[in-house]
Amino acid sequence: MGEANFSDAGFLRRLKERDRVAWAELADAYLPQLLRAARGMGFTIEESQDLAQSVFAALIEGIGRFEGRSHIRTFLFGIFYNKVAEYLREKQRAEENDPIDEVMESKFDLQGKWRQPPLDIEMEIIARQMVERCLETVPRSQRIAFHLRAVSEMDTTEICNKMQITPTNLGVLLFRARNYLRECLERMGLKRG
Amino acid sequence: MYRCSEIVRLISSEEYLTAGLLKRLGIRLHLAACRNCRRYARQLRALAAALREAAGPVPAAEIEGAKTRILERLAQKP
Repeated sequence: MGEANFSDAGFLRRLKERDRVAWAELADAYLPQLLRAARGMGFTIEESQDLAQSVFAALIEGIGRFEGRSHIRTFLFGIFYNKVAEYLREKQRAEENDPIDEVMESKFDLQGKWRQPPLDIEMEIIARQMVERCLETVPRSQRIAFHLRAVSEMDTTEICNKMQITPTNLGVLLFRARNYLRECLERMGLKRG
Repeated sequence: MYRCSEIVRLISSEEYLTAGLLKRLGIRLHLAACRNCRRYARQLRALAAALREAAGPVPAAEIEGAKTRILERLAQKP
């Protein structure tokens, strides 16, 4: 069944009647995307499974109120982003200071000139091989922000709206995520000589 | 003229996206003159590209597991 048919009134009725086949089709269509997004944001396999299930559970609860004015995918991902935003809200308070800020400060002299400039390494190649390993050094909230920007390719305004954070906040998350990653990849490149 | 430390912050936080014309011009001028900052900017682009490539599909077993539990949930009476 193609995605377009999900907007069909008959399909929506089947969902509301808790038709198992219709729900299985919906899960087949969107679970892979949902789990992929959650994994990309740095949630563990178990957390991603729980997250995807809680999104579907909320959809099962809320389908009665869904009138089909937007696409069901939009509705589903709306629930997902709300849950991620909720997670960020709880998480962020604890992370006012981050070690990467000091690392970055130490890279410049008092005039703001590079003291330790970026090394001339083959970042394209290193990044392709090591990015997953280096992503593990990036705190989760920063990873979420960076994923939404670089992989989901949302613009900054959209991310701020969906995640309920200020542009300043998003800027801090992106600054830290990128610099953690770049630092790690640089170290990896150095090791390989 | 911007300092390197400011350029690094403006680029990695993407603050430059909302910057006015004058600020953007200042950033471009700095990049044109500063090899280290150019290298930094290029490296950031490389890691964003690598991140997109790395976000591969989820194993089928994980999808099936989640699906089973969702359908179990569906079977519970509301």
